[in-house]
Amino acid sequence: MRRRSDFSSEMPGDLPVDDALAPFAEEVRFAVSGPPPVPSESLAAVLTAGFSGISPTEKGDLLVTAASNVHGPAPQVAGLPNWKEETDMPITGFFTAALAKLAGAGSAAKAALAGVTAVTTMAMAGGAAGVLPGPAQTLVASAVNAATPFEFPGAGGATATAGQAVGNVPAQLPVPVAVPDVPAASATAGAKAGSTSASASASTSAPANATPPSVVPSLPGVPGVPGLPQVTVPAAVSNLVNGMPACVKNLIPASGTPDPTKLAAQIPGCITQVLGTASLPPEVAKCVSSILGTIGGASGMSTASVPSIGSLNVSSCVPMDTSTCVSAMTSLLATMPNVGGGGVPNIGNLQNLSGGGLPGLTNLAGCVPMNVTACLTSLTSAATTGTTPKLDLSACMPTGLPTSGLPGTGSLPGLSGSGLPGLSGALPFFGR
Amino acid sequence: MGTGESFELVLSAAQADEPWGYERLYRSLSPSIHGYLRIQGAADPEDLTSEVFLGAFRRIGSFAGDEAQFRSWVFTIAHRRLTDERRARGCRPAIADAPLPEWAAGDVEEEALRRLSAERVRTLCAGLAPDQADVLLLRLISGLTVEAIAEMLGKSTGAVKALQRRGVCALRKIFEREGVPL
Repeated sequence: MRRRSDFSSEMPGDLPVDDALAPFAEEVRFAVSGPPPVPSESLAAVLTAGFSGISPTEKGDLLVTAASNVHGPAPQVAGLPNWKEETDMPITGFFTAALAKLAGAGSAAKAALAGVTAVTTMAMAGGAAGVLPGPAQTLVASAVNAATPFEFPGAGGATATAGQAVGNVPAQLPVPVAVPDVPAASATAGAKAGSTSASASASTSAPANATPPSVVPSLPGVPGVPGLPQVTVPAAVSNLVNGMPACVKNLIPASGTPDPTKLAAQIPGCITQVLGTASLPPEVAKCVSSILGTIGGASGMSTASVPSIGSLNVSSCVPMDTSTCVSAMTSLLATMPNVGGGGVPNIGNLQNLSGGGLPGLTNLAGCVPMNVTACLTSLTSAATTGTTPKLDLSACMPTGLPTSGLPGTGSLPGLSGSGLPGLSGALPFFGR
Repeated sequence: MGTGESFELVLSAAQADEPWGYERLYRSLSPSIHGYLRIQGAADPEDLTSEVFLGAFRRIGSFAGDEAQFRSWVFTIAHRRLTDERRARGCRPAIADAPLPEWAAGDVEEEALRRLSAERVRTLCAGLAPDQADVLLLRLISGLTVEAIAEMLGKSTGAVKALQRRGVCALRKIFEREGVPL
C-alpha cells in the first residue's frame, strides 16, 4: 500500500515549486492512485478479444458502407415504437433463491421472516376482504388458509391452531415457486384495503358499527425462539362465495389440511373456470385466478397446465408498487443474519438482529399502506428477544382511507349499492 | 509501462488488435483517467473511462508517438468527453456535491483513505475557477506539459501559465483560511 507521502515528490518538473501546491498535489495523486476501474461490457470485450473478436455492432464506426445500405435505409415498416408496457419484476427466481438461503438461515431469521410473512399474509386476509367483491374475499381467506400455517375463522369465527413448523417455511410460504408472473410480494400487498374494508364486508350482514370478532391464531413454534407472539386478526372473511364456480368452494376441504397434490391438480382447471365465468368482472376473475395460481405454484402445480398463467398477476387485486415492494423485501432479507450474498442479488453483508427491530421494515410501505413499524415492532422484538407481546393487527391495517360510499359498487357481485365504508379508498385501484 | 514490456511493444500489439496490448494500456492509464474524471465530477466516471478507452482503441492505429504523447492523447480524449458530458448536462456539475462512486477493488483501508482524499480534492477544486482547476488537475494527474494543456484547452501557453499561477494562489488562500500549515 502506498502511503500519502509517497506521492508528494512526484511534481511535474515545470510546475512552480509552491508551498500551496505540495499538499494539493499529494491529495490529488493519492486520490487517483486506485486500481483500474471495472471496464464496461463493450470495453471488456475488446480487452479480452480485440475488435476483431467481437460482433460488428460493437466495433463502433464502420469503415465501409454495408452493401445492404448503399441505397439508404429501408422504410420503416413496423411504425413508431410503442411505449414499453409495464411489466412486473420477475421475482419468482428471487424468492426461490431467497427461500433457498432461508433454508440455511438461523432460527431467529426464520422466525423473523415467518413473522413478516405471517403479518402481511394475514393482513391480506383481513384487508383484501374489502378490496375484492364477496366471492373473491372468501377466496382470499381460503387461499391464506390453504397456503399458510394459519387458519382463519369461518362464519362462526372459530379459532384454530396450525401445526406447521417454521422449519418448513420454504414449503409453506405462499410464494409462486414455479409460477411466473405471480409475484408473492403482490400477495403480501393485499393489506391495501385494510381494516376498514374488513368492516365493510361485515356490513353486508351485520350492523355497520358492530365490532368485528377477532381471532387469535397461533404461530408455529420455532426451535430456539420461545413463544412467538399471538396475533389479533380483525374481522374475518366468510360466506361470500356466491358467484364463484363451485371448484373454488371445493378447493378447501371442510375439515383437515388441504392436500397440496390435490390442490395442484385441481387449480389449473379451476383457474380456467374462473376466467370463463361471465358473471365475474374480468379483473376480479384475473385477481382470483392469480391467487389460485399462487397457491398452485406453492403446491407444485405445473405452469404448463395453465395456458394463461403468464397473464395472471396478483397485483391486479391491489394497488401495490411492485418495484418498491420487492426492493423493500430485498432490504429486509439483507438485514437477516446468515442470509448473505452470493445468490440473492443486491443482498450485501448482513447485520445481526438487534432488539431494535429490523432495519428496512419501514420501507415495506411500498407493499402495503400500513404502519409497518407499528405493526411489526412487537413481532420482531419477540423474535429477537424472546418476549411474547400481543400484536394488534389493527396497527397493520391502512389508515386514512375515506369511509364515504362509492357510487357504482352495486355493480359488483356480492356488494350492495348503498355505499360501503372503506371501499372508496380501495376500489379506485382495483383492477389496475 | 510498468509491466515489463516497452511502450513501443505494447503500442504495436494494440495497433495489431492484440487484446493483451489493449489490456496493458488500460491497466496503465485507466486509474489516472478514472481519477481525473471522478474528481472533475463526471456523472459516471467508470462508464466514461470505458468510453474514453474505447474511443482511443478504435483510433489507435492512427496514433504515432511515445508514451508521454500517448498519455497526452488519451487525456485529451478524456477531457473532451468530459466537456461533452458537461454540455449534455447543461451546466457544470457541482463538484463538491456529486457522490463518490465505490472503488472497484482493493484494500479497504486504502479505499477509505482514497475516498477521503478525493472528497478533499473536490472541495478544494470547488474553491477554484473551473479553468484553474482544469489546468492544475491536468498538470498533476496527467503530467501534460503547459503546451499540451494549452492545445487541449484551446488557450495560449501564457494563459495556461497564468491560470496555473492563479490557481496556486487560490489554493494558498484556501489553505491559509483553513489554517493549514504551509
